[in-house]
Formats: sequence, structure tokens, C-alpha cells
Amino acid sequence: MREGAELPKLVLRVEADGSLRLPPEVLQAAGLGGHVELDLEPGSLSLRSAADTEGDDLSEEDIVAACREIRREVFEEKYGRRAP
Amino acid sequence: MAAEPRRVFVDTNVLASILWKPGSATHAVALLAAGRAPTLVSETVLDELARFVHREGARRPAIVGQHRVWLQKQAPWSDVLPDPDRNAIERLLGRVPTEDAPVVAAALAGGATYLLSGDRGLLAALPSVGLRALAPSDVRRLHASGDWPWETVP
Repeated sequence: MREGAELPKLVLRVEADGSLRLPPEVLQAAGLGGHVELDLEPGSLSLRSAADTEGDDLSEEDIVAACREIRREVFEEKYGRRAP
Repeated sequence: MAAEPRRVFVDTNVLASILWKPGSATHAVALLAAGRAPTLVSETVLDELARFVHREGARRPAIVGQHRVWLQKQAPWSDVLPDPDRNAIERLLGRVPTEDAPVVAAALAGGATYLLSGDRGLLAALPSVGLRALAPSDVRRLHASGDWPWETVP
């Protein structure tokens, strides 16, 4: 988009069940469809399509366990011994 | 003179959770950022996070790009601490899980008051070394209470 161009108006509607509905033209412009996840960070918002997320999910417990395993691996490499 | 804001050391699993999927960790770090809480990580934490991204990035390529953005442009931490020396690590053995000692020693050396982690085993050990345990879900409760030690988010 050229600098100074007027941004299209984006209307987000929160449904009764708490889900967020995005206008079809926004999904189409972003190349997304169906289930979309929003990543909110201070100062930015990004969309992620379901294609990135379906069928390969990790729970928070899975992530904690994976990080614990990585920590043991790093400890062993850096300090030359296995953690009990 | 105003007291320096309390520092929060952020554990690897919190950052990995944010990368993986928005949830309580995302919300916790956003609240801390809005409250201008100094958020610390160590070299080891960044090493571990890079390994997580390398390991899981094939399943979810979006985390590779987001991790790169963090490293190159805008990270959810405000300072990176050096890894502690062996003596500092040795002093913690037997008080925290062995493999956590380098991270906990870095947090203590960096003047952290809180350690934010989703690992209940680590959190349980922290009071014995003088750190306050903070799980991501605790941040929302702390924010809603009258004890929020950082700037109040409107």
C-alpha cells in the first residue's frame, strides 16, 4: 500500500460465544480462510491460518516438558555432566 | 527518588508458549510490558528457545519467523543477562533442580524479584533461594489485585 493511502475500515465483531468474526474480504486479502488465530503483541496484531495449527498442537504442559528436556540437554553440554 | 521497578526473569517455557499459541503466557507478558516491568532472560534461555524453535519449527513454520522478529526487531524481554560462573551455579545445587541452577543463578545475579515460569517443579523451589514464583496465570490475578507492583494498566 502506498504511503499516505487511506486504510480500509476494519470492523471486528465479537460473537455471543466470545469468538471474533472477521469480514470475508479481510480473510481473502490475507490469503486466509476458515479458522484463523490472532496473535496479539504489544503494538501489533497478526493473523495465522488454521493450516499452520491444525493437527499438530502442543499443550502448555507439552511445551513445559519439551523445554525441560532441552534444559537438561543444554546443561549437559555446557557443564559436562548429567542432571539427576 | 522512586524505587526501581521489580524485575521479572522470564523462563524459556513462557517464551516458547507465546511463540506456539496465544494464551495465558502471552497475556502475562503483555500485562508486564504494559506495566513497564523490566523483563529479563539469560543467554541460556535464548539458547534453549532457539533449540525449541529448531525442534518444533518444522511442525509450525510460523514460529521460526516470529522468533526471528524477536531477535532482530522487537523482543518481549528488555534485557539479556550473561550466564553465571560455575561458583554461582554450585551454590544453588540441592536447592533447585540441578539443570535449573544456571538460569536461577542468572536471575539472582540480575536482581530479579520474580521468576515467571510454567514449570511447577521449578516454581516450588524458588522461595528457598529468595525468588518469588510467578506462573503466567498468576499475573492476571496479581494485576487484578491491589498488589500489582508495576505501573497500573488502564
